[in-house]
Amino acid sequence: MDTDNKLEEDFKPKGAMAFFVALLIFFMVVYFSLYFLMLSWG
Amino acid sequence: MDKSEKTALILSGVLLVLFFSAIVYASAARNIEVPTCITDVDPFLTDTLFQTGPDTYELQMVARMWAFQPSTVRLPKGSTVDLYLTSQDIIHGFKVDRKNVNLMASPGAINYIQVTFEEEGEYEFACHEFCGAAHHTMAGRFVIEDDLDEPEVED
Repeated sequence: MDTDNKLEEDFKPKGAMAFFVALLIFFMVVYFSLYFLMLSWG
Repeated sequence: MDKSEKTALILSGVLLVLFFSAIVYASAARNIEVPTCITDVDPFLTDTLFQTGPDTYELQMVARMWAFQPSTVRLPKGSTVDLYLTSQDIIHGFKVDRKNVNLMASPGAINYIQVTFEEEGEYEFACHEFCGAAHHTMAGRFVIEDDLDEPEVED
């Protein structure tokens, strides 16, 4: 029982965090590529 | 709240603030504006182009099924155009290629935007609001030339 609790406390959702950061980077790339394209149009 | 959830929320908030700040920067520092709809004056019935300053012009453009008047506008390089657009019949769209110009042409109202052509070349425009059988032919172009003395229009 104690071992289970210890494992739960130490658990970090590394896969979910990596996916979330990748998602944010993807949003930034899409948003700013269109943003700078439109800025260049004046 | 779990530490990972808190971090995700903070990161999402930072990203939204960043996106919104970019829009404010484009609007304030780069002077990029959205179109204005003028409803308190009677729309003009014919197209006109006249010079208002050394490099500034006023263009009154009329959209109808299925053409823009004028359909070709020749201007010198570096021209700033105050573009007023209306429609004689139904709602049309107006989009200039490679420029931030995207207007609606509405009967009974005038839409306005200012555009500067800093580079020479051809900037095609077209109707982007389906307006009937020959909608696909409703197009025209701005021709920006380096050595042009007088602006010209063609219907």
